[in-house]
Amino acid sequence: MIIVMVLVGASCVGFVGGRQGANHTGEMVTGEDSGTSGGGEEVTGPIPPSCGGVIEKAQAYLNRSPHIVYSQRQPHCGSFRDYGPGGITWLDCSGFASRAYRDAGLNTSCFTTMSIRSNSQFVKVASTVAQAKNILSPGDLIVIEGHVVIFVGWSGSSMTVYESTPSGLPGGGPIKRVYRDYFGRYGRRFVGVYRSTKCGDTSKNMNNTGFSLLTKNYDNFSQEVQ
Amino acid sequence: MSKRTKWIIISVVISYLLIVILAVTVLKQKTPEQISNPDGDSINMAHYVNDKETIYYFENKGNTLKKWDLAKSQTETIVKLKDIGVDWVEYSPNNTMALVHWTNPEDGIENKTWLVDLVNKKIVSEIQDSINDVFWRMDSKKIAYHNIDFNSDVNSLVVSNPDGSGRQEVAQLDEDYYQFYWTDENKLIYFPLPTESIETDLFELNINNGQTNTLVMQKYLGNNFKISNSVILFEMSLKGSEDYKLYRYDINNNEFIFLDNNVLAKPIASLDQEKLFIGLELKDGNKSLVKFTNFSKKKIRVSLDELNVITDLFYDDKTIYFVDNGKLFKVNYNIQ
Repeated sequence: MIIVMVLVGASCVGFVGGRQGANHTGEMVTGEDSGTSGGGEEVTGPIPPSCGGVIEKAQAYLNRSPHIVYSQRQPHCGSFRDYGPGGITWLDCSGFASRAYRDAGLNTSCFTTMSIRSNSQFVKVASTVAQAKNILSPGDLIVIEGHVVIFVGWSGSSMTVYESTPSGLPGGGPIKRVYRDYFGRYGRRFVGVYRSTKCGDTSKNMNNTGFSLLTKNYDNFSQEVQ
Repeated sequence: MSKRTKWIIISVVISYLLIVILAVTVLKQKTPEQISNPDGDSINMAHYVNDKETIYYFENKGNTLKKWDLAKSQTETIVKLKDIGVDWVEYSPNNTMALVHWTNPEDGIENKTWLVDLVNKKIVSEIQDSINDVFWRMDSKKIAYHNIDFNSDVNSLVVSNPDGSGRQEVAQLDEDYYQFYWTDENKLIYFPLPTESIETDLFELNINNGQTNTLVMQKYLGNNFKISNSVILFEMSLKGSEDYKLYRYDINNNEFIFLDNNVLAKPIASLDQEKLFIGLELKDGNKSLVKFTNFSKKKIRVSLDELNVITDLFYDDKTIYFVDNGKLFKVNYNIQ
């Protein structure tokens, strides 16, 4: 069963989903899965709960008509003035992921596959493919060299992701793909799995309080886009 | 007359002149006129046939490829497809065929491509490869396509007849996404499309002897549009910059020439192709149509709504057509 977590104004604390046997209950990963904390580094403390609310926000970009095309031209995250896909013409892979997280109230930055590695709003929860397979939860970002996808869920050994690529519809853009063996194909380029530090606060950030928080951080976002 | 009165009169005259100038500017703007589709269809993946005032388009609701005679205001069905999820249509340069591509919406990977005979209104064949992108040779006798299956190791550049026969694998590829163009009967240029700003190379492949030359090395290439067999427009950024600018690439001279600071969302070549073309420019959230003559840009005075989402753009020597939110519009404009 493909697990698609849809949370509207609900906390994803304690969410249990994804592949059977996976460890995504918010406990610290031990053994080879443990690491250090901070932006771009692995976590040492409790792992933030999953960010399933991102999936719903990302879906809105997939379903937009006319569809959003793929481009790396600036601003690659689109304008931060409006939420949702309404005024967006193009997005690249990290622009799509940045916006989905921002719309879910979990991110105030327009990151790239490079800058997310040192972004204090995200923690690296897996740095090997083996760790990734064990820990992946809906909404997690899988970063490979030069690309980032939003993990949606497992269906057996097949993995569903949302990603913005140069192919698919005319001009490319955000699409859903089901890979039979994602890590078999992209394992060599694997960088890590990144999760928002605010995932446990999803409900706070998606209500009015969250909106104020994002409005306050608008200037920071603009600076990064420039 | 007091000094104050003089200043008041001068201010009034200047204001009047400014209003007149503004009014003339606004009046000179041409307003696009919507052309009503007789069937009330939403227009997708459109293709305009010069001289015949005909538009081919795909209609999603009925899953149908249609032909629209604009002069007679009549439509006819070319083919109706069973599988829902047609995502692109590539029309042959001689306007007699089209390749219709379907991707399974369930997995975004499984796909099919059919060759449609636009004249006899039938599906001719299904191409037995997993096609990601295709490009017609100018004589419409051959196609080149990227054969890639995201669930296997298949990844190659293939040349075949339009119906898929005479299949020839001309290059094994490494990356996921490529752009390629025919430059003459036996030559293709191709380059990987990176998903992040990284340097990329541009190759030329002779399909007769399989020889590949690297034409350009390590450029930051973005969107691109073929203007003629020897000119391609590139969005390109310089090293260390994320700011894409518009360049014209001359294949014969292997040379990039700066055209403009602003990139184009949708350029299209004119009748004399290389020296004159129009495009849709996006700047500071505003959309406008522009005309390039040789290397100089001029704005075309057509009023476009900020909310216009132009998905297709065509013109002949007297009319510009564009599709906005599934509706067809025209503006009378002498491009020369």
